Amino acid sequence: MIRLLKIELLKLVPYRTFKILFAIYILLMTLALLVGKNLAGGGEEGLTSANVLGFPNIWNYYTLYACYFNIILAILVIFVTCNEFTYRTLRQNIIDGLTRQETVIAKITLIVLLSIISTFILMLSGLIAGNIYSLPEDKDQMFAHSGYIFAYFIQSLGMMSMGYFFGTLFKRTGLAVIIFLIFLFPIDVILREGIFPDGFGDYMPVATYFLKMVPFPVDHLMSGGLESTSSAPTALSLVVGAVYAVVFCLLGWLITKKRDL
Amino acid sequence: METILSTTALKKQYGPIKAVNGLDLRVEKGAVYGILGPNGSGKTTTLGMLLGITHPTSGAYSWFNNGAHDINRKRIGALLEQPNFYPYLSGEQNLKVVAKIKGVDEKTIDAVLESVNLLDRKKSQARTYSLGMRQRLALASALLGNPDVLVLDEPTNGLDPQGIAEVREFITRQSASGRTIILASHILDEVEKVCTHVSVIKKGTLLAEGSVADLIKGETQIEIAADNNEIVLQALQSFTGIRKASAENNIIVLNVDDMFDAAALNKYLSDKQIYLQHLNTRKKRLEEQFLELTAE
Repeated sequence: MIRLLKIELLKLVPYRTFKILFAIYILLMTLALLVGKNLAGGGEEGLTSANVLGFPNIWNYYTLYACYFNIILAILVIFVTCNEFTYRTLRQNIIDGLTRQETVIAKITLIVLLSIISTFILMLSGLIAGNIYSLPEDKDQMFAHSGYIFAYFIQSLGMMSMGYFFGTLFKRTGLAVIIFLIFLFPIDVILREGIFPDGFGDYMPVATYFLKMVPFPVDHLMSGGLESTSSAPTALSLVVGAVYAVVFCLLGWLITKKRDL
Repeated sequence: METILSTTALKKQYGPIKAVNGLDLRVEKGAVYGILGPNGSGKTTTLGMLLGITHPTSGAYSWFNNGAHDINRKRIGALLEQPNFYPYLSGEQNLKVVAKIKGVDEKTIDAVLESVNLLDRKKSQARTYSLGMRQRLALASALLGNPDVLVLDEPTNGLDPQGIAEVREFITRQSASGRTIILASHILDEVEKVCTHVSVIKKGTLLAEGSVADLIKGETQIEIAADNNEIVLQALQSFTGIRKASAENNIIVLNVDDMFDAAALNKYLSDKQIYLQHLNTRKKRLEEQFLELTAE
């Protein structure tokens, strides 16, 4: 497993597109926190910086934001996956001695590693921003809503697994990215609102990741900041999100196993 | 002789098209085994199946008498079609990936780069390499891990004369060091120059198989047939100039020296009261056959 990850890192680290995209990702993750800086002054009531980006509400708001940046990581995984087809290196890796299964596991270990890193970035910058914005008396609630950090981890895994699946299915970078984006926005909405409107559609992959796991803090906003955000994502949404991640990886594995490369 | 590779009724079908149609091959240790056939005859598909990237429709193959296990490929160095590399990685970084896959010490990378004269360019990105250099990098990559077998698919394709000479010299050198080599090519001349054994395939079907000496060099062969071939074969034992006599389908095929006099043979047999029904002298049977099928 570690060997497979090392192989992936040998390919990935010198890859300039990776460096650029990952730098953009980190920039967005950190700069996004500036958005809350100038919210309605420093009063104690209402939607102030302290109320939105202080503990514990920051975890809901920050993940709500940050989960969109996972799209960058997913596209990165599509690039990396499709490169193996474009350069015909997937078949070369197999000729050189990897099993088909190992090529899949290698990508999964990479996805897990990137998820851990991105979650770590979220946690670290969240803690720093939270400490800056929080009122002194709220600082003991630092990890009160930290279930969202875990949700973000699952979401990273799921989004990148989805990217891996689309990359494997379509093989060509441009095509895979476009279809991934179409799936991300119109298709999922059509499935959710048009075809499975009653409940079930809310748990389509994209809806699960963007709406269910990181719910929009309606109560908090409607109450003008008087009520807290919900304390954690629902267990159901986490389980469904994790199941999708596994399903996408399994589908990628099935395709890789069946296909002539 | 130790068998390196054997295939039984190996078959690959794409819809109605039979790319490989029941191929039986056997490669012995130490051979330079040529798979000769025109473009589209199923050479690459065959190698693809043997290297685990194409699923056979039916049939089986076995490396090192150890079946089709993935682990076998670590003992094989292979170059299939064009060289495949990560263009943004340097030659050295590309080989690090291969070394890690094969579980080979990275310290051996310099040695294989040296053996293909790429050591001074190892830090350059693979995308900056010329086709010849990429081909040599692929050969270096195939050598990593000191494999027992090298599988080379059209290794001289697209190279200039110097590149072609280098690759052929490489094959000869590797063969001399004891490696078994499987070489797919559509160039008769190439196979004739470097191979010890050859199989000729067309449309996925095996046309002929044997040692290059027997087949391609195709010295003069004489076909004869009489009412009783047994008696003929006995009589031939005391006739000079016959290297090998083999009976196939009621016809005796004689591999003979270049200066062989067929008329003398006929006279010799008739003196012994043996009268031939059939006498035919032919040369370079395979080359003609090959040219016919490539001319299509």
